Amino acid sequence: MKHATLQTDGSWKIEEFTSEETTAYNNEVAADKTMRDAETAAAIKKENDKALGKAKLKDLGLTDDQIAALVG
Amino acid sequence: MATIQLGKIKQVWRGTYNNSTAYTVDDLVEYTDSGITSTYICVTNSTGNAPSSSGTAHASWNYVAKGVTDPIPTQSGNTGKFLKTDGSSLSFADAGGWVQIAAGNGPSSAVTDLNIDNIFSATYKYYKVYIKWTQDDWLKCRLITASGVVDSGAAYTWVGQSSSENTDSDQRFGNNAQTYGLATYYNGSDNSNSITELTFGNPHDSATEGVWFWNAGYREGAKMWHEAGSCINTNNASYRGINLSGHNGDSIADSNFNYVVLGTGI
Repeated sequence: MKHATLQTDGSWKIEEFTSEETTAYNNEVAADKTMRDAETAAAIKKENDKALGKAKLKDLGLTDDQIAALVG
Repeated sequence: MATIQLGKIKQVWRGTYNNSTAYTVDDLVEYTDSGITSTYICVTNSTGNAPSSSGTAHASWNYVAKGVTDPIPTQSGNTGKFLKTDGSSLSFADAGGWVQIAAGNGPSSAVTDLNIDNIFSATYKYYKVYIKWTQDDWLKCRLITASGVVDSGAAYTWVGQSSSENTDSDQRFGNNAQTYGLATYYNGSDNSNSITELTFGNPHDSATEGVWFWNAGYREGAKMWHEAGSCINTNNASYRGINLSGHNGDSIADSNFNYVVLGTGI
């Protein structure tokens, strides 16, 4: 992996990651994946709960418009 | 036989006025009086009488074409600036309120992260950074200290919200004590075009925390997303630039990335 630094003349100075930087980067990516996976799972659960909730409201006799007005 | 004196049958250009030259009627000269260059005509034979002094013509001379003070202020030291009027006088000033500090494409060789360095200074208080990146992932943003070190301490706190078209998948997200801030939090699967605007408040001020907010737009499949968020680095430090890092090794290159940095003062 490489990183670039903007120079005062507008050009980029390209340098390879050091081994320490590569390790830190990969560790961060792994941690980020865990975090994003948890967020995605939570979002999916929220969508599923919303769909289940809407279905129950419909079973109670609410129209689609009434449900949309309540929960979007 | 009687002689008739006709005088000069035409005016004579004598060039720049010379104090030792004997001028006769209808001689024309150029002379600079108090920094203003004018053209004069001799109306009485004259030697050693400057055509004018402090803007008033000598009795031996009349103005033919009187110069004026150059209304344009000195251009020295004003590269890139524009003429501005206050209604009565001109001066060189920055055009509009925002000044372009830097702009360009990504590096010709693809990288994973880059430093847009030396863009913040004491000259301006507020900065905008526009980024167009065509990739399928999100960008982290860290601040570069005045000594040139990318601040990766666990001092970043951020919060944001995204909303999309054609779905109810509005999302909120946030975190604190992170080792990075955000420029976007997009995590889609398409290499779609995205635009991000970052606004920084006085990042060079060492007495305050580094704070910014962002706005971003991008497409993911049939959905158009809009995202907005805020971020702060809780360290009180002077910052001079930003580090952008593509998540998960995504490339940043001249073919998929460009940026503009603007600054303005108070």
